Amino acid sequence: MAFEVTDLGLILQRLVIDHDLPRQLHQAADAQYHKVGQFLADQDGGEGWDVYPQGSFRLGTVVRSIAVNYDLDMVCRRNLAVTTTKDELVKEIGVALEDYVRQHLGTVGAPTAAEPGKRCWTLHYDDGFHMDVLPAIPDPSGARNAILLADKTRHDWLSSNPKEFGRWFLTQTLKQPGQRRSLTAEARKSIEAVPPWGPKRPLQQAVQVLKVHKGLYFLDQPDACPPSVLVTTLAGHVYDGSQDLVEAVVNIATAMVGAVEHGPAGPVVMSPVADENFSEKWVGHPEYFEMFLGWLSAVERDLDQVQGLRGLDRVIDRLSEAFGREPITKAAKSLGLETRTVRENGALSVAGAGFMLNNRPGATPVPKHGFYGDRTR
Amino acid sequence: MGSTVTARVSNPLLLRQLGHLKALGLGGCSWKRGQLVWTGEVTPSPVCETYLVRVSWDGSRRRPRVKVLRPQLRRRAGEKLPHVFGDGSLCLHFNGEWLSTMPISESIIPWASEWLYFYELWLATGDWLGGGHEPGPEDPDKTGQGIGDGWSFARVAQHGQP
Repeated sequence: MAFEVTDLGLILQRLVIDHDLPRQLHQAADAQYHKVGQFLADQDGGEGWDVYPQGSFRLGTVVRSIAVNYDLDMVCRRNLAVTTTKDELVKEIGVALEDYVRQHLGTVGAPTAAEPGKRCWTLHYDDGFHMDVLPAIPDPSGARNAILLADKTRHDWLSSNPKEFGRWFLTQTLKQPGQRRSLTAEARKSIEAVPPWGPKRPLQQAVQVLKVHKGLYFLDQPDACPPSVLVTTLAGHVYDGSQDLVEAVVNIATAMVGAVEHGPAGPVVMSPVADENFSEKWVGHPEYFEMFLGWLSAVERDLDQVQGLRGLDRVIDRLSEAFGREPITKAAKSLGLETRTVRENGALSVAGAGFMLNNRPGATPVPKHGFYGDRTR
Repeated sequence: MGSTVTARVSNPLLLRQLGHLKALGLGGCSWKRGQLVWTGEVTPSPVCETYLVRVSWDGSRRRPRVKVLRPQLRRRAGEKLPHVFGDGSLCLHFNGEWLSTMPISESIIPWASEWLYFYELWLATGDWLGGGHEPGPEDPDKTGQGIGDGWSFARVAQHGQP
């Protein structure tokens, strides 16, 4: 199918691809989920452990942080009763992880250290990512896959359900244009458990665009930055099935505030699959919610203004204000180099208004040529 | 335009080029001081500006002359426009890459669209990403008015590679 060699959506797509996990890092991370899980299961006679990704790796919405390191999450669920204390579980997992590191020291792809982290344990890797390990036990009163997480920033066990949240979100990525209401996960039994590395659907890319924008907007005020899972949840609720990335982002930003509930303690965003409050940081901080609204307005304004511009340099300038000059310039350059390659491969054609198109069947290709000239003006 | 231009043109190459340009369905043709002149609006991509471009050709083996009438081409601070000739016309190809038998509508005009696309990227990034060659002091064809010769074809072979 023919498409224009460069438009706003393609620039944003390149931006998020550049922020996403490259294939070999995705494979390395994926391998770790399996290897750590296998190691823990082997120690225990094969029962009692389930290790799996949660968060952006599970949803296909990874975006590297400003620090250029990927922040991934790993759930280590131990089949223990809830009478286990959090401390006992955290200690047991810590011992197991330290064992894993020791036994695999020097092996390619293995973690270099297991250390106490901000939520529990963190596995460090030389590859450019780290894993926040979240110890968990099954939630006896919950639904399928419900767990209780041991998060050291919290006093109590934290109810969560990463697997069902993943199924819910990935189901929303399948909405067709005009489908505004949330789809139920049971309607899509073929949803993959964890998306493989590869092209993302518009909702996934829209969430990635919003995360990159959010990272820059709240760079100087990280405490006020809304958690990515909150943004992802609201995006999943309000996504209307747009297949155009720019339209998807704008429509999501416009509609998102309508999906925020209002409880006795103020605005709240709950998990759609567990009794888990994603908006806890807004409690006691009404200014954070106001800043969240300000951020959404900025997204709408930035994309609205750039859509009214003509001239790649003006578009790049305006996009750079919102997403950072270096990543936007890199995205535009990669599209330019690709256009040249398309021409050199004989797949570039020009339509009536002068639009350069890639891969239009039956079209006369732009003949090979080289720009020359004497630069005197 | 139509029949008046045709009546005054006896060069079959010019007539053939006129036919191709009319079939393009973009812009319009006129005849001025012995030259076939095409003027039309070109937009390389949805995020690019729309440029009014003029292509003039005298029916000889000399390359068509391509100028951007509006908007005025901009420059980066302290830098000169890349890939233009001394008279400000666009340099779109090496000698020998365009022959008078090639429809201007399928070569020169698409190449102009490409030039404008890479020009906008150059404005933004400082890099000319479209490939090509800036002539040095040893290059004889600085004015771009040369006609295909052995040296030029060799240069095309060297620099035309991906």
